[in-house]
Amino acid sequence: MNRRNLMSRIVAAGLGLTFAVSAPLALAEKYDGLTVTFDKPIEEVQKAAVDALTVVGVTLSKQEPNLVEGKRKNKVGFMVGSGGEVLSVALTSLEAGKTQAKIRTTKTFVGRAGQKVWDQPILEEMSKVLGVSVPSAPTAAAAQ
Amino acid sequence: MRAELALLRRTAWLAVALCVVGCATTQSGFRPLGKTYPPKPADFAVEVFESSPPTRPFERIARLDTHFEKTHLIYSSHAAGFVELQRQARAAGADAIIEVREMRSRVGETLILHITGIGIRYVPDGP
Repeated sequence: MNRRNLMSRIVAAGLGLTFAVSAPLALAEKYDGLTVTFDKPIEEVQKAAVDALTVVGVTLSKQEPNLVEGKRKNKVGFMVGSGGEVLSVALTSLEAGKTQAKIRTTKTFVGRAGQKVWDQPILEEMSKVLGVSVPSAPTAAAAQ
Repeated sequence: MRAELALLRRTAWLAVALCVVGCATTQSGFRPLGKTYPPKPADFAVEVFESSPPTRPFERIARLDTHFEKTHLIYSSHAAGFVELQRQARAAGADAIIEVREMRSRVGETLILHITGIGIRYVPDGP
């Protein structure tokens, strides 16, 4: 293999790596979480949000009537580790005992490569706690 | 040369120590479902009903959660999870645990175990 050939392969690998790293970041910029409506009063949905965030390992920092928020602890791994995401569930009371919930994962700089979007597991756990089927989320496609 | 080797060794030990300290987290807690109760003593034997609830009358008093995350593909055992869940039940003042759910997941090289249950207190039979 000549030197020029080797250099072009290194450049191609570098470009591929840059694309692989930057593509999820670019998608993340457009992502705006999951917004769903539960046929339950806001007090019940808030408790379900607390339980659901606990299930995915969040240390809660805010437990307000309209907002539950916290962060997953960072863990050191061989390659990338995990944790560090900030997860929030913002609640809005609607008419007739309905509540709109906006579930959002925000990735942070430290350990970003090992972080994931937890919205769907949180939605499923909230539904389980509330004893309802998982509501459809109109903005779910944006998270993919 | 010797000083460089010593520095390298110290750096390696520091890296190992950081990995050991930073590779695992355990979070546990309970949320009262209504009235709160004083904790049970540390040696109190908490019963666990994994399949069906007890036949004696009881009151649901707390939601219990325990969460283990370990990197390097280190596995958290079912037994360790239950020991922690029973500790939370004692802290909540519960006699037993029902509605146990065990969830396992994985994020890259991190293995996650979450166990949740409901802490109960036996209530005296009616007259």
